[in-house]
Amino acid sequence: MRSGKHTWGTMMDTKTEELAALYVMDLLKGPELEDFERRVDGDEELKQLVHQLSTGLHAPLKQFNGPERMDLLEGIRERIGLAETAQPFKGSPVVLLRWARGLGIAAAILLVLNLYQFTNPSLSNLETELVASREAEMALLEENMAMKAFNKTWETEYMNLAERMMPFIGSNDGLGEFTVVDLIGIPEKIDNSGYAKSGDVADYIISRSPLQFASVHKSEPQLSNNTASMGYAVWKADESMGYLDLYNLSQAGSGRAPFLWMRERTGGKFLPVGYLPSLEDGTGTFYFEIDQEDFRPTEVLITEESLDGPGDQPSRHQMMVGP
Amino acid sequence: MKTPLHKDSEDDLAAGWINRIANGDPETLAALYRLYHRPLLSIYLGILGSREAAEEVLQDTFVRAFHKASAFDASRGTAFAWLVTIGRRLAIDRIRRERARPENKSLEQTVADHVQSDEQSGADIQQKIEYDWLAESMQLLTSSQRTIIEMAFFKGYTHIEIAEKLDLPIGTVKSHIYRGLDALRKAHLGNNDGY
Repeated sequence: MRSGKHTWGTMMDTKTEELAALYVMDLLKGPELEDFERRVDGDEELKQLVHQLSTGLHAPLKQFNGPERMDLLEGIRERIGLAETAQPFKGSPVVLLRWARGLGIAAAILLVLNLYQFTNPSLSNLETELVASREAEMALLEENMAMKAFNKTWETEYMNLAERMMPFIGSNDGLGEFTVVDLIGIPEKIDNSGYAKSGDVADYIISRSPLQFASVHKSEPQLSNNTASMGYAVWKADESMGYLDLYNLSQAGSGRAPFLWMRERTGGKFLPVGYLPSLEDGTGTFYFEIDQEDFRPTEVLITEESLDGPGDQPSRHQMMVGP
Repeated sequence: MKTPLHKDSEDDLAAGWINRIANGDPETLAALYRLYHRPLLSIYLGILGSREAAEEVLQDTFVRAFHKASAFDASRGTAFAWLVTIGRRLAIDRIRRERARPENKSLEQTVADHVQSDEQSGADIQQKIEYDWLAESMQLLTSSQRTIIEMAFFKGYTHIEIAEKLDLPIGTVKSHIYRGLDALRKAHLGNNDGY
């Protein structure tokens, strides 16, 4: 037994370690391979060694980045009979925003609560709790909104969103702990032709995982002819949840995707939130959360970032900023 | 907080996609392809020395992964490692078939021919980048470990063949392979707390 080998809980003999290395290098064959695989199946420590040796070998190889060859995918799809029945993926390879159904409901509440507070800052939690019915809430909302000099189009949109989300509102929603940031598109990006395309991996993740909110709804028809790039973000600090509503986000460049950043104060460091899901015509609404206590963003930024991963700070290719 | 490209999460994501393929959800194959086709193509090019052959192996790899998805075991290695192994076997088989042809070229000659062919077409640039990177990463290893691991991984020699070619005892070759992989493992663990 080799001295100083205390990496594993029980001392693993040299022969086993070497067999594990040969296994990882795919050098075991025949009965020797079968015997070793049986041992791995029954030995968690050995399984962990195999996993770690494998990852140590392959992780650096993952850094190889040749040219993108998505054209070869079609040949694969044809060979396995998928070519005519489904849509190929495009876009971001990894999205680690945690999109949850519960968040959707919470954020829907947030949005409407946002509207209350936005339109009538003096409305207290207690007063809101006393709102008796959905009709009364809608009436109050309309009244309050009428008092605010909203852009007419946005007012219509807000009302439509509120009406859509009213069914989720309860009588005690813990109001007040949220931030609203309006976003505007960067002019040079607005002029770009085309919008972000749908059908990428992020969209796939959202639509398929049981933990993810599935209904990324489109904007209301009233805004469908509006080509301005705009949006807003709502952040509920006490639950570290966020809501993002975007319109006409321009298309990211090749090999890049929109990425959401937030920061608490001007001059501070932006917090990377994640790649945006794919958007049809650059328009959609999303929910997300960030595992960081007491985070209270005051600035929101959407930039183009390489699909290989963002840097420590946002790139210079800004798509939307707020405020 | 969660960072957007945490490696463990990427591995989990890819493993989940393979499991979904195994459970009859073939569309995730495209996601897997997008995530890993570039490094895989580079690795296969490094093994085969021919871009055309590497592209064929890449496609064969994903077709095979699609049909064998249920055999993937995330507890033994990452999805990426599994894909590398599938394609590497295909590539090595291809090299061995070449070697077995009537002209009975040596493995070295076969690889050299591929490289020569690609040099003529200019396709070796990417390969050079890869080998430069490999040389850098392999600084973690001793010269013997590096030579043996390269022979096994990129050229398809078995440990027995390596022992014969280098005139070393088989036990020594095994030991070098383990110690080399262990060095890479420790370096990776050092860079990935909580791995």
